[in-house]
Parts: sequence; C-alpha cells; structure tokens
Amino acid sequence: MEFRLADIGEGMQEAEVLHWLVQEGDEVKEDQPLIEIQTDKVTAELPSPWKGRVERRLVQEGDVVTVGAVLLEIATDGAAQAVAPEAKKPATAAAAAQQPAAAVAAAAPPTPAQGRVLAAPATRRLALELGIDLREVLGTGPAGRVTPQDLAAYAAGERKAPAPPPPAAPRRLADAGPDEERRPLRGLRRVIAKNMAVAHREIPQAAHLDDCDITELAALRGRWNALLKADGADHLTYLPFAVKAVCAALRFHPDLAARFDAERDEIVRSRRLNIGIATDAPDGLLVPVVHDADRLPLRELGQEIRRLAAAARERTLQQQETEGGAFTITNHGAIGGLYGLPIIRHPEVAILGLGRIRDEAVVRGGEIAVRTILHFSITFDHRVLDGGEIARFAQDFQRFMEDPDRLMLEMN
Amino acid sequence: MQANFLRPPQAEFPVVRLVGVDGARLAHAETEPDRETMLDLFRWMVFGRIFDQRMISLQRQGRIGTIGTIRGQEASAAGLALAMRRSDWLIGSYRELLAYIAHGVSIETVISLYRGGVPGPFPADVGAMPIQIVIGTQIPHAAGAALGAKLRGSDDVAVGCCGDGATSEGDFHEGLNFASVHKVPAVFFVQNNGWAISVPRARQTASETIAQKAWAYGMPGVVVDGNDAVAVYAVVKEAVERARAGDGPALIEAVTYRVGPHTTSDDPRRYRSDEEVAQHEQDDPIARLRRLLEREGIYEEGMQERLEEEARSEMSAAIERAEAAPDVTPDQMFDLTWAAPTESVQKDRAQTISDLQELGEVGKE
Repeated sequence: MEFRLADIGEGMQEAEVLHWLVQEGDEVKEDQPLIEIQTDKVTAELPSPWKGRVERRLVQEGDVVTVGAVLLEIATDGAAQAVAPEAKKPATAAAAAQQPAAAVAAAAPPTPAQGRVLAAPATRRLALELGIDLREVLGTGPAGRVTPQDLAAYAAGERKAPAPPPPAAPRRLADAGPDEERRPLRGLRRVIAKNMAVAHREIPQAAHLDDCDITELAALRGRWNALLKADGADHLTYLPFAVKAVCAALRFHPDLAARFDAERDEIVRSRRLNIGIATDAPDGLLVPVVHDADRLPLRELGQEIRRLAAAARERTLQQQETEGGAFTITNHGAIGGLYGLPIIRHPEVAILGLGRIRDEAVVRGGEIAVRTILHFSITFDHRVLDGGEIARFAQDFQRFMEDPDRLMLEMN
Repeated sequence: MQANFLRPPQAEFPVVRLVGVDGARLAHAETEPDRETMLDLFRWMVFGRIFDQRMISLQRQGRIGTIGTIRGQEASAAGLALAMRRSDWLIGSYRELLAYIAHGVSIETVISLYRGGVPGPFPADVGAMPIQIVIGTQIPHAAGAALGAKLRGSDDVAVGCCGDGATSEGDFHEGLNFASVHKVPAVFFVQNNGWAISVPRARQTASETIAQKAWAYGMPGVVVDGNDAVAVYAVVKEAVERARAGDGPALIEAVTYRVGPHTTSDDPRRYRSDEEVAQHEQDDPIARLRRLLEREGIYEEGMQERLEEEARSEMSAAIERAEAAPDVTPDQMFDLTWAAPTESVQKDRAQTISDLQELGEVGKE
C-alpha cells in the first residue's frame, strides 16, 4: 500500500521531511507514527493507516515533497488491512476537490487542457454562446483567467492556448557531479535564505562606514567588570554599551527605528526601542529581540542579551522573543572582520554592524597615540533614509561610545 | 458628589468543585450524578480521549479534514451531554464532538461530516443542530431554538455552547440578551479552555470571570471546575431543569484547559510554553474521576483499559462504515438547506450542474 502525503494544513502544497521514525523492514501498527514533516503551519507526525511492514521509503530527510506524493510503501496482510484511503477513487474531479488529497493521484499539476479554466460566469456564458471551448483559449487575465477580450481574439483566430506543458517532474535533488556534494536547504536555513533574498531584492541598501575611539569606555568597562567580578556576577561585554548608545542615538533619529510598509508607502516608526541582536547559532543566524532595551539597567541588559543568545543557540526562543524588532545590531567583530556590510532585517530600515575592536596608532593633538578603536558599519534602506541622516546618526552613536559621561546622561 | 460605581464582587463567583484533583469528595449537590451516571461519565470520557487520538490520526493520514482537539476537556463535554435529556437541543461547535456523540449522534455521522460527506439527518429523537464552525453563532441559535420550544409548548431546553473566545463576539451578547428578555428555556455553556487559538484568556476579556457577564443580562451565572465531571454534570443539570421549569436561561463557565492544539492546523508551541501545558496535564479529568471511582469502590480493576479497548474497536467500526459511504456529489449541497428548495435554490442547482457538465466535472466516471 502506498502512503501519500495528504494536505494536512488547509490548502498546503508541500511539506519538508524532517525525520523518518521507521526503518525499511520495520513492522508497524495502525496509527504508529511513520514520519515527521514540517509544513508552513505545523510540525506533525504522520501515523500509519495500516498494520504491516515498511517495504520502501521513497523520500529522504530534507526533501520537500508535494501533496499527493508517495512517502513510503507498506506491505499489509489482506486480513488486517483497514479501509485504505485510496481504495476508492473519487468519482469525479469535483468530488476529488472535497476529498482529502491522499485520494488524488500523485503530484501531476493540472495542465491548461485538463484542469479547470478560470473565467467569470459571464465569460463562460459568452463562450457557450459563441460555441468556443474555454480550454482552447489563452487567458490573459490574472492567473490566466480568460476574459471576454480573449474570447474575441480567439474568435478572430489570433490567440490559442499553447500546448500543455509536460507534467512537472517531482521535486528532488538534482544529481551531483563527481566532485560535488549536494544537500538541501533545511529548516532554519531555508527561512534565512528566503528572508535574505527578500531583503536584498526589495531594499536598495547603502552603507556608511566609520570608527570610534572607545578608550575611555574600555577603561570604564574594566572598572565596572572588576566590581561585577567582586559580586560574583557575569561581566559586561561591549555589546550592552553599544545597545545603550544606539538607543540614545535612535531617540534623536527615530526614523531609523522603524519599518517600511512598501505596500502603502508609509514609514511605521516604533514607539518602543526593541533591539534585535543577530546571533550566530549552530543551525544558522537567529535574531532575538531585546524588548525596551532603553529601559533596562545596563547589568540586566547584559544578562538579557546573554540569556537570549543562549536560547537562540539552544533553539528554545519563544516566538515573541524574535518579534517586534525596531532596529538590529550584528556584532560580527566578536568573531572577525574589520567592517561588515550586513543586510537589513526586512522590513526594518537600518542595521548596525559592530566590527573589530583593537588598539591602533592614531593621531591625537599632533602626536601618535595608542587608542582602542571600534569599527562599525551601518546599512540603511535608501528608499526612506538618506546618507546625511545616517551620518548624523553615526556621529551621535560615536559621541556616546567615545564619551561614557555623555552616554550616562542619556541612559534611564 | 462622587458617583458610586459598583463592581460585581469577586466573592459572588466561587468555582463550583465537588471533587478535588486527588479524587476526594469536597461537597455534594442535589443534582449530582448517581453511581450509574458516574460510570457513564467515565466511559464517555475514556471514549473521548480515544476518539480524539483517532481523529487526529485520520486527519494526518488525509482521511478527514481539519479537526479540533478535545484532549483535557472530556469532563466538560461528557458532563454537559449526560445532564441533558435526549430531546434537549445541543447546539455546539467543533469542541463539542464528544458531547454530540454522548448525546446520541452516531460516531459514524461525526466522522462522515469531517470527510465532507452527507451522513443523513440526526436521529429524530435527538435534539441536535448541525455542528457549527463559525464562532459564537451557537448562542443566538440556542436562544431561538429555546424560544421555538417555548412557543410550541414543548418542555425541551436548548443548550448553546461556545468557547472563551466567542464571548468577545457580538453574537454572544445578543443571544444572551434576547434569551433573558424573552425568558426562554436556554442554557449557555462556555468552555473556557484558556486559549482562543493563540489568544490567551487574559487578552480576551477584562472581566474577572466570564460567568459574571450573565449579571449584565439579568440571568444567573456560575463558574464550574470544567475538569470535574461530577460538578459539570451537577451544574448543567441544575441549569437545564431550572430552564425547563420556566425559570429562564443561565450562563455556565466551565474552566478547563486545552492540552492539545486548537486544531490540526495549529502549532501551540509557537505561543505557549511546554511548562504551562505540563502543569495543566497534572490535572487530567479522566484520572480525577477514576480516583473518585476508586475511592468510592465503584472502579473495577482493569476497567479503564477495557473501556479504551472498546472505544478503539467502536472507532474502527465507525471509520469503516463512514469510509464505505458513497462520495458526495456537488448537487447535494443544494438539497440539505431547505425542506422544500426555494425557486432560487432550484435555479442555482440547475445552473451549477450545467456549469459543471460544461467543464466536464460531473457525469464522468
């Protein structure tokens, strides 16, 4: 018996195979979970409709499979066989539409000549009156809908529907060359790929690079960390200070803490300074959000960032902990890179990349001095922000990072 | 002068609980179930657990459509159904499937409905309106059915069911108001399971309780522990008999918890923590009633396992019958709304069939 992927999610098209829960040759009971899949909405275990033995597994973990595709074959002994979902073929296509998808023959998508042609009732009537078979008409309306104009053109002998395309081959990994290894994008990686592509496609991004002298901040941090150490508390990295400096600067430049609603051409300013922290996790980049980062005492801010980063690495972030971001910071410098050019987290409008911090020889009052320098970059959405505003934001950020007294004046 | 704003005192809404989580009797009520009925409650709750598991399996196998889950809410469903008379109107939603079955609608009929089939009418002696997915409609429907019963001089009571989410809908308030103004024999039964899909109860209403909304409409309200089958039965029984005696409608809030997802299309881990669920799972209504039965010497060794086995075979047989039924055809949707189809329905029916024939979608094997 063939076990097919059903539409278990109210109109889903495909699902990703997460895990096999049975091996070929395994004896399975009715309702025993066979395979775990992930759809847009849920992660679900699919239970066996039959008692029997797993003959063949036809898909692999990581495959994206279409509704109706056969997942595995199960050998049943006739007597124990429950009523098979595909034992009955639907009598008509209309009935099939109301049937669970498992009953529908595998993935062949409808071709123009076979499937239902889209057309308004008035157009259908016109076609009937003109004696035209709608299936032969090339539709030019939305989603290939046949319009009265198409009927007129057809009647004048201009446009015919093209020959139906050959049925699409089932999606599977293309063969790899001898020196290649192919693997599918899975889970979080797929989500990242999709989000990055959207951000890159939709946002005209420009960048601003600069550095700041954080020698005084470094000294202050050293003193504070000595206190924290004496208390037995976790030390502070530079990141919470940078978050505070960003919050202070954003208050003067609120259009950077916003999202762009391209459908309505509106900038939606955030009333809350929720700061996303790009976090390098084993499965891929995650961006937990520190809510109301401007209101947390520095020590708590440091703890919250630490907690969220740990939750990101362990994949235990709650949904609300990744939502509501107004501005994102990525601290790639902790790993490396003098400057980065981060991609904006769509639909936000700017992102700050913190680069390497190192002691450098700089000129101060005509003398060469050794100072601690932080390199940073800001990528911004040039649709809604211009370089001038970004430069002013960057100057404020610099000022707060370079002069901790000034930063503390702005902190609450 | 200062206006004297009044709030309903919280003390007026104690939670009615007759059996503790440990199965100990805390109190007695006049309308509480007898020994026989307690066993019935237990049987139906065990059936409900198995029914839920099998229905989710069927959905995952593509054999039925989207289905709401009832795990954790078996006491509310069974207590409700068994406290009603067979001819009383049950007007429920996807969360009352167990109540429908316990009330007298066959398992096969319910499965068939979820296959998109046409199972035929409910048994003539069972008062039950179609299972309605639209949120909150059950409340005005129950008010209307109750008014109908009153006008016909029948002594049937109409029970309208909804969830905590539905209490934010206009229908809920209109229905309660109408029922109370006309003093109809209705009972409104709200299963407050804590979550309206992903919206928690705290975001649903600023009232301390849902039951206290009854006050605004001039009817009595009560909060009952929805995981205490004995208390649910007693409270529903009292409300139903009160309505039957002509004393008008009442509102019941059964506080329970949806242990499973909202439906098979929902992933609750995206909005609530595993710890919260684990905490609520400690109070399993089936285990609670079993402990009571054990304490009172009613429970027999191996009873639950036996009932589970019976439920499984009942389900298998019902699934087989439902799947053997012929597929529904498109024209049938026109046949089941009106006793005698109106002229416009007849016209629509003819037009649809001719459109489908034109498209080659009917009349072909």
